[in-house]
Amino acid sequence: MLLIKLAFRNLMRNRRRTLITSAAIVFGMALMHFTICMQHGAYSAMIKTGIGSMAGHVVVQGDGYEASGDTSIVVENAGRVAAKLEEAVSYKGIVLQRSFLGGLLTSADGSSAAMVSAVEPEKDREVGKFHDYLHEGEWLEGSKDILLGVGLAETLDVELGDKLVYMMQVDDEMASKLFRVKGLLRTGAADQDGVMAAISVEAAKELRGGADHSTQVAMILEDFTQWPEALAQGRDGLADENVEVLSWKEALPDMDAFIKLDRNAGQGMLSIMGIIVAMGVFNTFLMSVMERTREFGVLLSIGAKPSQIARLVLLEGVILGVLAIGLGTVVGSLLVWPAAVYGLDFTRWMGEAMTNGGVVMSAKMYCVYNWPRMLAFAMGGFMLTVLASVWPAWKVSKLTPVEAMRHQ
Amino acid sequence: MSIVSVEGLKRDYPQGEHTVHALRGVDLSVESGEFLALMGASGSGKTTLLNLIGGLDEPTAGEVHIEGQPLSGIKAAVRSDLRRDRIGFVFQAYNLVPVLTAVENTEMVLLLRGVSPAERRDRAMKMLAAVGLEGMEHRLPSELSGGQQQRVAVARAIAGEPALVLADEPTANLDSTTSNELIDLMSRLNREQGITFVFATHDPKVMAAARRVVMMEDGLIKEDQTK
Repeated sequence: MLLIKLAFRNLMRNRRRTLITSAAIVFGMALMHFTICMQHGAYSAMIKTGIGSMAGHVVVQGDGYEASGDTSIVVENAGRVAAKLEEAVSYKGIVLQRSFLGGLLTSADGSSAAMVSAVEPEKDREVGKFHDYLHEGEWLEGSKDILLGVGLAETLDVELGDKLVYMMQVDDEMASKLFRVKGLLRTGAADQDGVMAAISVEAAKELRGGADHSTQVAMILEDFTQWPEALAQGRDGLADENVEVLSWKEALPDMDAFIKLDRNAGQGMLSIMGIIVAMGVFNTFLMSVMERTREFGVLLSIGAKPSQIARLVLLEGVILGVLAIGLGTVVGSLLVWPAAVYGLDFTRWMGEAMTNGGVVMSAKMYCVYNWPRMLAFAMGGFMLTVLASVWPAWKVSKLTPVEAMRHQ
Repeated sequence: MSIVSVEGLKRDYPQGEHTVHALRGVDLSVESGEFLALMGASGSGKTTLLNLIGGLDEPTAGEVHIEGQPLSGIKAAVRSDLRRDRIGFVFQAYNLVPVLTAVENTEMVLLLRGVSPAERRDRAMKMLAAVGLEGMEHRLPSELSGGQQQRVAVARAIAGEPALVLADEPTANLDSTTSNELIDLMSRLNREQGITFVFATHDPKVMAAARRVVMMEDGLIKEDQTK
């Protein structure tokens, strides 16, 4: 206890210096936590959007579709495959079909190429993302309904209730179908709003001549963390089908690559910041040790072992680390809270939304607490702080009493 | 058996191209319970001899034995243990830990020995009472006068009940009255508790109180008088 008291009082000898060093650690730690939670929030939103609009936690596609992107590669007998997937996976979730189609939309006043997503209206309303983008009008009901991106509607010069024709290629022949505009979608990303449209899976099947084909059968799990086990079960259950069973990461490779790149870049920046702060701590400890060399000589002369003096210096590092990292974590967590509840609005600088890794990201971002990562960084910060006191402690352990006591 | 036995002790310090011969071959034996003053001008080798006896420095040649145990060739950690368990030090500049109170400074040696908190606090309080600092136990060194700080240093030196206390110019920074009080205190501790004191000093008052005076000059013992 006396040793802890001594270490603490040693830190408090030069209060201003210790406070400045502590403030640097607290500020650095708080900033790290905020960045971690902001990244986690942005990635979670991206994954949710990607999975909700283009994939699932487990994704079944026609064999070769992911590599080629060829829209003619489909899951045949999609209804049966969906039922088999549901049966194979023991975890709770929703299995749904989707098709991604290209083609031309023609209205009375113009025509435009479009990226058409075919969804199961009821299921997609529950777990999909398109319903969140419904800006005007109503959600899909029948096979004649179509939802248009606001930009696309403007290009085609159509309003709610207007009719238009969708034409697409099916097996080297053209297929077309008449739709009525049921609603308008708005993501906020102009590039998406200018080309996106949604119809029902039923309508897509009609366009394909009634064949039970879909581009994708996806399973969205209630508990996201169960995806590896669900994937394995899905692969086992569909082994005899001519399909590829992918994880969400494999089905959204651009998004996954973007997240990895962004996370690594962020981690690199945070590590550099950590090293800069650690250098400041190292400087503080070195100065503190140099100033007390004579005192260490006295302690050595009254019987302290060099290792005991080194331990005292290390203890000072531990105390500073525990207090400053702890406070930094509290401050960081408190800073995250309003950003987690009310979000951070970057609309002024980024527009309403943008596309990253092929996925629409809202410019209003919400932090999400990532406790395991925050704990890992706090531990890393603590280790760096203690590490900064190791060399001064080692230097002290090499002192001889007479040399130390001659030090002025 | 002598508590301190010094044979042919030499200590050279290289200084640029020259070598300073601080000790040139000293033989000395100190018996238990002695109150001995090493006298001599500055540079005569008093402090060097004291440092070598205390195992704070290593001789160029010769040998020091403490209670029959040779200091040469033993590891630094063993030497630390010897200082902690058998030797107390009092320095000219008090050398208390500034962030610890009087009682905490006194406890330090006992802490290093691993004595339990309650026991070391009890013993430290008794030591401070013995040196006349009752009521000042919880003051920081900066809140004590020079004489009081030196009393704390003496309390720290004797807290571990050492066989030997080495005091390097303990009265040099004190006024005459305080010096006399401190000499009386150490003399009393020597008589009543049988602690052996060896001083390096050129204070005539210490010489007057000492029962044995060893005069040093140019790194050699010039005279050894027992009263």
